Formats: sequence, C-alpha cells, structure tokens
Amino acid sequence: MTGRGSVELESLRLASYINALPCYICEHPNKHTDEFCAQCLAPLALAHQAANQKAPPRLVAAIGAAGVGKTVYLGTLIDMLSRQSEQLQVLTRGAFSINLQQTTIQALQQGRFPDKTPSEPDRWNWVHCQIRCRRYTKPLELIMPDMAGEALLEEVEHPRTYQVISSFLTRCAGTLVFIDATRLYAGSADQDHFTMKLLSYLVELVDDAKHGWPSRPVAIVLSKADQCDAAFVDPQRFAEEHASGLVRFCRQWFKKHAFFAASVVGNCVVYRDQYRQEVHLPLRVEPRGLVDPFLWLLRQLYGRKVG
Amino acid sequence: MALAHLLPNRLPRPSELFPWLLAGGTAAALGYASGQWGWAVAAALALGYLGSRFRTGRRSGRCQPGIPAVHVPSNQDAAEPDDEEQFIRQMLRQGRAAVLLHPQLRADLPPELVDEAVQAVRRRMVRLGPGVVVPGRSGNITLPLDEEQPPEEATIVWEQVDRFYLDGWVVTNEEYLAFVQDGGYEDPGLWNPEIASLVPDFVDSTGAPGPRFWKNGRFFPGEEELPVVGVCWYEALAYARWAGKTLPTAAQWELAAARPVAVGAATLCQRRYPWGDAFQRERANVWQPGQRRLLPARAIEPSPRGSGLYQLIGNVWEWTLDDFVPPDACGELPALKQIRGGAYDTYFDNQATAQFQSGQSPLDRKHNVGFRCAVAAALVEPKVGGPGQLVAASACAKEVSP
Repeated sequence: MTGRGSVELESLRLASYINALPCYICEHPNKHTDEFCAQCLAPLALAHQAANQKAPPRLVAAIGAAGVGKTVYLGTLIDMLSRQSEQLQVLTRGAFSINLQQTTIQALQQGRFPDKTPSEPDRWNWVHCQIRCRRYTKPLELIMPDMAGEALLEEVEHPRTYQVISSFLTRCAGTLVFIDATRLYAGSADQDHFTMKLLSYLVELVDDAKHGWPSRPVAIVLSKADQCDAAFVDPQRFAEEHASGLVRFCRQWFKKHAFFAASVVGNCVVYRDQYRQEVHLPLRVEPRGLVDPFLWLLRQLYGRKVG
Repeated sequence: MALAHLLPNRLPRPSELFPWLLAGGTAAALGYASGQWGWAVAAALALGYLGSRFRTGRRSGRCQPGIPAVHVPSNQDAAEPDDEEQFIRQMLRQGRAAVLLHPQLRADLPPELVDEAVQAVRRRMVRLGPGVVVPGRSGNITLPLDEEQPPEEATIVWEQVDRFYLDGWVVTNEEYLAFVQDGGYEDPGLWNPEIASLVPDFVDSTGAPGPRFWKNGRFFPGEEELPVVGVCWYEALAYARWAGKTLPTAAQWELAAARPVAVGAATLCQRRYPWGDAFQRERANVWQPGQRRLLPARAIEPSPRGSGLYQLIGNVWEWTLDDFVPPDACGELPALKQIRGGAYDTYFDNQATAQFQSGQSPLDRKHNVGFRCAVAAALVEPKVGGPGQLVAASACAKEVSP
C-alpha cells in the first residue's frame, strides 16, 4: 500500500546544492554530491569539513622520494598524538582521516610495513585533524595528505602532471621533507639530488620572498635514523657530512629550515625473497624523534606557545 | 680529571710489579751505561705504568670460539693469605661471587668464604627451573609426547631447561663500572677472539673504554641504578665472563618470564606476561604518553610478586645468547642476536611479551638494550647437577617433534 503525504524540503540544503562546491585544494567548482574533485582528484570531504570550521584549516605537506618513510611517519605520528593527552593532542576529523593511521598501525602490528602509496591521487589517504595544545588555547586545524613518492617525482620532472600536487604545494603553509638517512650514510647521492630537485620545484612554484616558499618553514627529516644513530646525535652535522649540497641549498633559499632525525622502527631487516625482490621487515616499533619536526613546524606557523 | 680513567684503580701487589721493575731497572741501567738519562727514566716509567695497567691480563681464563666460557681468575696471584682474603673480598664487593664458586677456586677456599659467595649469588640471582618451555607460544599448549597419537599441533618445538640462576635485575651502571675499572676492556681473555681487534672501538662519548653513552669512562651522576645501555652483545658477554656468569639462553629467559606450568599430563600453560595474560601498564615501563625514559633496575615491583625478578618486561631489551632468525624470512640474512622483553620506548604492548622475539646486530650499542646474566645451578649447588656443568647454554636440551 502506498499513501500520499507531504515532506518538507530542507530549503537551505537544496540551495547549497545549487551552488557549486569549490575544492579545498585547487578551488575548482564541483557538484556537492561528488566524492572527488573533478580537476585534481582531492577528496571533496575536505571542502565539506572545512566549510564547518570557523578558521580555515592550514595545509602541511610531507614530501620525499618513494620508500623514504612518509606513510609510516605520518600514520605513526597521528596515532601517537591521538593517544597522547598532554602537550600536543590530535583529534582527527571525519572517518577518512583515520584511514592512514589505521592502515599504518595495522601493518606494523603484523610485523610488516604498509603497502606503497599508489600514484593515483584519489587513492591517497588525507588527514584533516584538529590539534590542541596546553598553552595555545585556540585549536589548530590542519590538512595533511600522504602523497605518493612516485607522483612527486613525476610532478617534479614534468610540472603540472599532477594538478593536486602543484595546487596543494602552492597553498601549503609549510612542509616536512623526508630523506633516507641510511642511504645518505651509505654514500648514495640520489637522495641528496632528488631532495634538491624537490626543493627547487617548491621555490619555483611560489618564489615570492615574503609569502612564497623562501619564507615558509621547511623541516628536513632524516628518516630511518634507527639504522644510523649518528643522525640522532646531531642531525645538522650529519646532513653537512652526508648531504652538503642540500645543506647549502637550504641555507641559500629557505629562511626557516631545520634538520631533524626520526625513526619509527627499532630495527629493520632487509633480505631478498624467492623472486629476488628486496623485502624490508620491521622487527619492532620504537618511535623516536617523530614529534620534534612536527612541533617545530607548528611553532613556526602558530608561534612559540604551541606545544 | 679527564685522565682519571688512565690511572690504575688499586695499588699493584709487589708480586705483580716485580717483573716490570726488573725490566724498568734494566732499561735504566742501559740508559745510564749509554749516558742517556732522559731515555732511561722515560723507559723505566713507561714499563712501570704498563705493569700496573695490564695486570688483569694475567688472570684470564681462555675461551673457545663461539662458546661463552666462564672467566676464572687464577688464585696463584694471591700467594699470601692476607692478600688472598683481600682479593676475595674485593671480588665479592665487585659482584663477582660466581667466579669464586668455580670448581678450580672453590676447592681452595675456606667453607665460610664459599658460603658467603653462595649467599651473595642468591641475593643477586633467582633460582629457576628445571622446566619445559615452548618458545613463542602462550596459553594452553598440548605437547606431542605420545608418538602414536600425535595431536594436531605436531610441529610444536619445546625446550627442556635445567635448573639455573638468573639475575633478579639487569646489570646496572654501577655494576658495570666495576668491570670497566677492573680493566675489563683490556683483558683479552674476556673477549671472543673474533672480536679482539674491535674492542678498542668500544668506547664512550669521550673515547674512554666503556658503554657508548658514558663520559670519561663513567656514567652520569645519579644514574648508578639505571640499567647499563649502549653495550653490544660482546660487551655484555665479556662482563658476564668477568662476573663468572654467562648470558641467559632465550629458553631460559622465556622460562623466567612466561612461567610455564603443567596443567595436565601433556599440557603446558604459559603466560603472556610474568604477572598473567593481560597487559598491566603500571607493571612495565613501555611506551606511554608523557613518560619515555629509563627507570632504575628495581623501580617496579617484581613480577610475579615475591619472585625477585624485576622488570623482565619493559625498561630495556635484554641480550640473550641465541641467534635471531626473523619469522618467514628467507635468503641471506644478517647475523642477529635475540633480544627479549621490550623497552621503555616499545610502542605496541604485544611486542613486550614473554614470547616476543626481536633481533639486533651483536655489534650494535643501542640506547635501549641492556642485559642480565645467568649461571647453571650446578655452579651454586654442586650437588644439583653434574660436576663441571658450568655453561648454561649447554644445559638446555632441545627436542623437536617428529
């Protein structure tokens, strides 16, 4: 049986559907019902979330070569800070923001590293979170994507290949730049060269001395430092010894930059499987130095009271 | 003060100095004969210094490659009765009571000193075993004892562990200092032969022999009771030999932490933690917000209660004698030694259990890896085991099901 009745329409909701929803990353107008931006493929959930905030969220990037540890760092950092009740606390916004933390921690608990981040932007994990500090009373809103290293490399080599990367990094307030400390320690120069390329790309993207990348904070994180403890002792000195070109580049171009060492696992074994593929196996999880670069970045963005 | 570590920690006995004085005197005489006084005095002083510096090398027991032998000092040095007693008292003060219980020395010691040494060992160590342990498993485990009716778990590997003594708490900075000051790093008899050429590299932050994070051959003030960290597997083993002990095997360590209990004819119940199966944050120093630092070796009450075993779980990982092979790994793997128990910065609770195994290169000197020592019970109670059954590693029989 069917009956006739009248349902009141939510006029405000309808009205909002008529207006296009600008993507929070590239500002391209999209339909309200879309899941991803038609232009850059960033999730439109970011725009929905941001629309409800009094203060617009600020964008922070985590960039570096493929396999350098961006996913593991970000996932563990968010998990650590969401468990923490003092100094710095993270509250993730939206179910999509928990994906990164969930996949990373699940993998590490099973004694493996999370799968490689796919190059397709619509498959990246994005984190929108609120950060609360004891001394800084206003909550800070941040958006951080876990970008694929391959996509970054492609974008650096061929600018505008990935609209989402160029748009995000143009609007970005600051960045964490990851370098594999073990490869630097082993004498490999590819990390040094790739990072310089990446930083050159940033400077070219927005080179305005006052508002561009030269005045934005850049935290350079020597990742996987558990394999070379010297990086923990003095990260700046370690970088000078093993990546002197990068250190000079940073001094020349970035007013606010600092070097840090970080590691998530306590020890890692590398071996070749039956198909001669290199397998990295984390033996245990002992986060070390994860909060320092992030806290430094927040202090550069919001002032010394943070943390 | 920076050169304080170069000074000998006690005055040498006349018997020790004699050959060096003779050599020094000869050098001086030769210098005098050739009219070069400066060289003569320098040679005499240098030989005198070397004589006092390398005195401990003469008391070394030899060790076989790969097998951790117990380091036994020779009591021939202590020829005079007063000297001998002083020497023994010094060893007791240094925490080397187990050395005195070695059959070579025990036979020559007066019974009251043997008793004193036994009591000293019992104050520092806890008697455990004998027992069976199934490595890496917790809960109720049915052992395939009956070959005719093998249960579904036919691939269970278990280990029989003989009675042994395990340190109640990990070796502290203060205890390790006694080893450093006694010239442990200069005594080749304490070190595995394959590592001898690398021992001079085992230095602290100022280049003096000692753990990696010390300064000028000493720990920082107020850190006496903290576990010694920044020592590699070889340093831990050298200390254990100096103290008359060895490192525990993984099976011994797991037996102490998992407390296996026979709950049936062929069923064993092993705990996940020394206090039970559920993690209790207040009973272990592992990663937690706001507190990530080393605690003194006896800061948290023993688990199980009254057992005398402090902080098997958390605070520092502990070196064991066994090699570590990552599960499911294949191909060419790096040589790793097994570490157990988790540390103050271990993030997951399931990585700080009695069963969890991790590995570390034996040459790594990490900020969160320490050690405790073990001895076979036969050393402390000669009637318990067979004579000369000293090396704990050989006391474990390994059985594998068909």
